[in-house]
Amino acid sequence: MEPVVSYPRDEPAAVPDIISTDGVEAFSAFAVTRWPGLVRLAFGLTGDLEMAEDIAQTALAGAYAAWRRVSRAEDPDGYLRRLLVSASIRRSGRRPVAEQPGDPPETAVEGPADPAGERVALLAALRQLPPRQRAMIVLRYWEDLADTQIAAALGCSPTAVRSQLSRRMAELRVGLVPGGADEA
Amino acid sequence: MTATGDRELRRAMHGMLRCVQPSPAPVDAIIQRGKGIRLRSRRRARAAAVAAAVAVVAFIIPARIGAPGHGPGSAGPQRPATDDVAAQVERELTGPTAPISTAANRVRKPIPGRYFPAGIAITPDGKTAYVLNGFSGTVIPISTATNMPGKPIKVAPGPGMIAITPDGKTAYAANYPSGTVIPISTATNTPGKPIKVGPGPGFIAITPDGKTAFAANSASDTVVPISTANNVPGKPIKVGLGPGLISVTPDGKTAYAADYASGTIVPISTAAKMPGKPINVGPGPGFIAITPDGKTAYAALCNDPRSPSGTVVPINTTTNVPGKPINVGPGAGFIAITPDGKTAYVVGAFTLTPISTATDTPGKPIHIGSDITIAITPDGKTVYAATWATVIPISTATNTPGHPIRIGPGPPAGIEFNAVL
Repeated sequence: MEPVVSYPRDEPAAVPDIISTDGVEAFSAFAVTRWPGLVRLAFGLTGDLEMAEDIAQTALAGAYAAWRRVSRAEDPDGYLRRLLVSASIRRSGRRPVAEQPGDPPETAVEGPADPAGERVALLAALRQLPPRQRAMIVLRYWEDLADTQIAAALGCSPTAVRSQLSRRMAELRVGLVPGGADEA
Repeated sequence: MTATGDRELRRAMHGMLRCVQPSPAPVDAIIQRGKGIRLRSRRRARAAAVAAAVAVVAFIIPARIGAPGHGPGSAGPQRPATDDVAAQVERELTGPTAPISTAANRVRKPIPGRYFPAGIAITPDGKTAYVLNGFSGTVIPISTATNMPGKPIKVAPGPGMIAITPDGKTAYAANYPSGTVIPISTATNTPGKPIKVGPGPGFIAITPDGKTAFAANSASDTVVPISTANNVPGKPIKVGLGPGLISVTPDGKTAYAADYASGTIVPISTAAKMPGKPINVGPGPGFIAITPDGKTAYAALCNDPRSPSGTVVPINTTTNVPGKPINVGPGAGFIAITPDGKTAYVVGAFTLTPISTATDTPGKPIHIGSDITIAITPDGKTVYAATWATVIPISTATNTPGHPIRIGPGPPAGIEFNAVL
């Protein structure tokens, strides 16, 4: 499975290394640069923008509370991701993301592909998955994470990630193709 | 179609999430909330310490009076409180009894709109590209002859946009977080006194006569005219929700504000400084650009998953009626039109797509990444694509990207505030 497009990621690999005495300045820079990526990841996990922003806030607040440790961590983004995924799974458990997918576009847009329709289908298919499996799919296909990184974010074993991913992918395939798998 | 392979799934995922437009990071609220978590975990630690101390006392006293079953050393007191805040935090966030947040710490209503982390504008003589680096809070002049960056000009950190007056003498940099527009003298490359325009200026456009700069304040749903003669802001003009962008017709009579959150384009009479009837174009118009002949305005609609569309909509500026949407793939974000008016370059979630304005058909996409802003040199030969940390020149003749120019510091390309872009 080779990456199709290689364009820059939202999250830079390193934390800004200017750590002021109280760390607030460094944290602010960290929060500002991570925020958009976090919100997008949380949106993928929840399908709701307002909830996504709240979860991203929760994760960053957690990182602030443990800032001394986070700022010195080898992989602060991994830590942040774990906080975010945990918060979103908890939240999904509390209030199932079961709203209807957005209405299909009123007028079909002409073109070689129909990315809009594809997105609606994807969102609907993701919503049908349990939160942890949804997280695996999003971390793999949006964050492009390896099995070990996904396992770290979810607190499970890489083997579990591998087996779950292949099983869920099969389900998602069915969900993504209108009318079932026969069209694939 | 195998809409189900890894490639398609990744593409659909990226198309969906790239278009999500977060509000600017609410850093203060996050810090407050973080302090709350710290406080609670400390209190809990203290409570645990007290409990441990009580246990110790309870252990010692019976031992002293020779109570049975409590021989010394049978159960040493537990190490009292852990100062491992990280573990506490995780428990706080993941544990079954953890409070999510207090009412006071709830996320505030998201501010609609669209912001650019990096902005770029080219002087009318085509010699210099001014690039706003939102991360470092600087504006970097780049010589278009050598593609070499010059000395950074300090403005203010945060997203925004930059525009240059037609006489080329002043560059105006809008700064979203501070609610100001900062004038820069291009002769000396020094910043002037910031002009207060109100919450959330994410974009700026200048009339062809150079007399007025319009700042689109996406956080306050207004457009503020600034007199460039004395740099004094005028009365805010109310438009739709989340005006992330504004563009002025070549005759200077009309400014079009794209309201990201309300799905409208509001024409503003530049003379009367009054808004006209909103034009409904569809969900999430993130950008609008007008052809040099002034006949057509192109509005880019990002593929918002809540209301998908994924298109560029041409608008007849005479009738203000939107035409048939042009599909450019996911995440249409930023548009620049060549000076000859023949090609509109549209930034998407994955690509830069040239559109022939004669036929309104998209050409072969150029792969340069995402979340960028672009500007075209007056000779029409080069498109400069700016991100927070780099600028990529692209030849319009061949549509091939050239060697990236570093304008760091800042994260690599692709950071978006709401943004962004």
